[in-house]
Amino acid sequence: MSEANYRLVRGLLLAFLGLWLLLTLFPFYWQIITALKDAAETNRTVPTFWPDVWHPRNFKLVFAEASNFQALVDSFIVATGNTLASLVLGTLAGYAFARFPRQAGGENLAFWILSNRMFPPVAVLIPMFFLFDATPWGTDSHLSLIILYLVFNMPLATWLMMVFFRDAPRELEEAAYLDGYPPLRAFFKVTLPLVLPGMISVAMLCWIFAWNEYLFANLFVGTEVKTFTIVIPTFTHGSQTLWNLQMAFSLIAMLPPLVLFVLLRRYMVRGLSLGVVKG
Amino acid sequence: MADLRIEGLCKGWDFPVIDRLDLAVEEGEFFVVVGPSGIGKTTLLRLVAGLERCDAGRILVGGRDVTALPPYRRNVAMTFESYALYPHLSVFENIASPLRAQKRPRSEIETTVRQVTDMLRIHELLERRPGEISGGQKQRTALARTLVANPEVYLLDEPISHLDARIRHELRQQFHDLEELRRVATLYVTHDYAEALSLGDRIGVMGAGGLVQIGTARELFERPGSLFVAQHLGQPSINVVEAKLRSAPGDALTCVAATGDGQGGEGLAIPVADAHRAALLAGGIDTVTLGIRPQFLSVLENGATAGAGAHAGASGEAGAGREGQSAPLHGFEFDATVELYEPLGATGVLLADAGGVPLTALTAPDRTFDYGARVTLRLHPETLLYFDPRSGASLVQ
Amino acid sequence: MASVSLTGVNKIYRSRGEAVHAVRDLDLAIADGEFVALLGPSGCGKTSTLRMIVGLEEITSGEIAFDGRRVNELDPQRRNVAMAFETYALYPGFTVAENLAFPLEVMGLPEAKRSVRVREMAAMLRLEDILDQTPAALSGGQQQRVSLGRALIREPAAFILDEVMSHIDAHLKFRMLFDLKRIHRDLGRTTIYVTHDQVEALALADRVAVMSQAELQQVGTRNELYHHPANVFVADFIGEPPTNFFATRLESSGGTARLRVEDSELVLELAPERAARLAETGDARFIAGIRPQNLHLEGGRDGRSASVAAAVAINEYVGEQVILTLGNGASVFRALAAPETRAARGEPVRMHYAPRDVMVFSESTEELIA
Repeated sequence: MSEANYRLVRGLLLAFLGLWLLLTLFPFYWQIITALKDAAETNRTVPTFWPDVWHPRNFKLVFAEASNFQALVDSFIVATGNTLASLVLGTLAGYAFARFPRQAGGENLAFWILSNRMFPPVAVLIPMFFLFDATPWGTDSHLSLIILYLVFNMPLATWLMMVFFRDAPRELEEAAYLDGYPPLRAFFKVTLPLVLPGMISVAMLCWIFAWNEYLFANLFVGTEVKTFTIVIPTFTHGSQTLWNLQMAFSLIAMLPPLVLFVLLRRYMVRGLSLGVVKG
Repeated sequence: MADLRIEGLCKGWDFPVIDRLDLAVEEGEFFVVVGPSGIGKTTLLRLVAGLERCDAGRILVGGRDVTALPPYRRNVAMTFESYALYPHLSVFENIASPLRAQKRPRSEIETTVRQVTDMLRIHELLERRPGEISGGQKQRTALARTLVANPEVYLLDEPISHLDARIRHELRQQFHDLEELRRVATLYVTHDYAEALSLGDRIGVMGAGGLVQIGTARELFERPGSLFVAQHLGQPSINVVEAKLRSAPGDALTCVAATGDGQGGEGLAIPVADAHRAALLAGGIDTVTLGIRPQFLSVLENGATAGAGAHAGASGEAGAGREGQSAPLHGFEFDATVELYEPLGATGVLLADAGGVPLTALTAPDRTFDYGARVTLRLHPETLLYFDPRSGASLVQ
Repeated sequence: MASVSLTGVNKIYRSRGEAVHAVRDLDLAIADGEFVALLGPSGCGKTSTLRMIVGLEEITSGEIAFDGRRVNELDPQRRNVAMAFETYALYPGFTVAENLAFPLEVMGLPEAKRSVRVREMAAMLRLEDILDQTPAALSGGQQQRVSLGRALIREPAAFILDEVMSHIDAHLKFRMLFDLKRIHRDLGRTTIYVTHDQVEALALADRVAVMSQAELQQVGTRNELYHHPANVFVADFIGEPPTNFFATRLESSGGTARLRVEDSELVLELAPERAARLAETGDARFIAGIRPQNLHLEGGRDGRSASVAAAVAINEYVGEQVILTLGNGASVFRALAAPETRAARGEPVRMHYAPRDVMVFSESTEELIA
């Protein structure tokens, strides 16, 4: 490749990346400036790209109703509870599929578990509602959402954990047996620490899904329990949508996953690449 | 402290890998299994360790039948070819692992690990992770982990094959020196014949299905029971020549080597040593497979004996065997044409054609031979090995 | 065919802000048709060097040229080098013949020409009988030959072999070495062979380039490397069992000079002209090296005028020879002996050597002095 050609290709590539960056960052920019406008300014026919009047009070206003903060807590309980359950079940199932594929039901069962993620969620919406309505804790509870989200998160956790376990050398576990550890102790001593980065990545994925879920939460809960996703659409005034409050609240709701991501990023990247390199 | 006994062991997947294998390793014995890669050596170790379930047979450790026991209850320790060090634990924790499994008190763990690591000279590495140490250090860490376990049987899988020469020799020396290894039964697996001969009190050569021959290093190398064993021990590997037995004038017997595919060359007639004659005649066969060790073929040139090169020092290991105190009578000499000559640093390897029969000979490293040159080769008929061409079994012992 | 030259080549990997110097200021000129081996322990930089030559890795600084033409910016495909890998990398669904023909097919050669070339290559590599088989049915040695054939069939400018024999059983290795040597002789193609195994490198190459810790230590023929190693590393890495090294102090009295080994009673005699050279350096301490092959149980001939006393620690019988591990004070060293040697642990022996076989290295730079 000649020097001139090389420069041209490089220039094109940079231009494309710049465009891409613009496209991805614009919504964030819009979200932030909207959260800082007053209600009137958000509803102008000609939008403003920079707030005429700064209105940071929005961030306080969204908590005028005390239950709104409770919604964040509810979301946190549901997301964390579901993540823990997905991890425990997914890790055990993934281990079984990775180490004892035949005894665990073989490829078919593993695939069937994954296939649960393939149908559109709406398809199970109605039957699920009646199913959970018949349980002692009903539909409007933390537990119902925690269990319900397992339908989506557990297959994911199982499959990813299976891949991580396959990548963890079996010999290390065997070495632990020969050191004198029975299988369960060997699992905790050697295997689990090896897949820990992977587990953290899986936990992030599960947690973010459960945190952001709207469709089922909207149908199942709303009185006893409220998640933040179903609170956001309630910021209206008559027929007018209070975009500024919705954006402010969603910005606040973005903070927990962001903090989590920053804290766990180091492990997460390692975990993801562990799967990619050998998968 | 105990011995290891294996009786009628069978294991196979699509085809039998180990077929009715019997082996007894005495207390304090260092037993080496040597064989080509993929023959089932590691499978044998895994069966004894309990990592694989055997199809039939029994494994006894100190008279106790452990066949049905899981690995963590057999009281055997094993090193893996890949070392299998726990990457997330420090060297100290890796070595302490078996002691932690036995729930020993902290102070005892400390002292035991110190002792072993001092002995193996890895005490300054204790805080490091396995990813931060060299191959030789990893190997020593893995060895230390098995040593602290204080087991009844040691199983070592190719522990030093993948290391550089210096570390390999150092660890070989360590295996000789470690008292711990000499107190229990050790089963050591390798594909490197020199390692096997060097380390084994007794050595088993593994072929398809099981051990083909068991013996001391000298027994196996000097009196191989079959062509397979002879071919597997020694480098360059033994010359194999198909030959016919002919009666010669008097009482003598000659072996006439066939020439490759019958094209060109007049063949090579080598007299049979007196010591071998009776056994060969008794066999009642007329064709044999001859085995000629490359180091027993001396290359003479211009009347010079092997090992008289300018840097004569290096000839010691190749020349002394022939020039040594027990040199028998006269050697048999014949002519050959040089096909290829490779000086390899410590030795030289000559590929020659003797009347259509290709032969490899070991020489001093600093001689030079031109392609196509005529040389005289000498061998002592006593050093020849005779095998049955069909079964490969040795005809003379 | 081409000559290959590397001038001031550096390779620096950067990861997480840390710079790792993988190859440092490498100068190496490989003549047209020459067989050169890159030899060194794992992590010495030989694989990075090879990948830069092939074009799989960017060159941080310096120049690589084929036939005097700079190729730094050229894509791997345009450099016209062929490479055979440690792992064979054969196409599993294809027969041996199809595997061999594949590079020609990519080049757009017509069917008839392809089959002629495949047959030629098969004859050269003893593959005629297995042309119709798939790789799965072949032994390791056969697979390796197919892989070599596939690389060679393109008639590349240079032929690069990366650890191609590390998975071949020892008793088949010699055959393969001879095959490779013969192919090189027949085709006369520039060949670069990367290995960590000194036996392979010494057997095959016209010249061997020894690398360690990112730097080239010495380039030379097998005799140069074996008899005149440039430094302690080369002396240690070339030859098996490894060279014995001793920390010593120069002692001269009445015109003769000797090296006294520290922490033992060993004294090494020096040839007079060497002693003079050591004295010139002005140092008092030196590293002495002597190969196990150069220590003998019998003395009196071939200039073996000196000897040292030691006790046998280990007698290792390895078939063709015996390796004696000997001790004197804190010094432990090895010697080779005839296979009949029965000397057992604790037995005192006297090892003879020729003073000219003692190699002396500077203690500070570890470079060969005499």
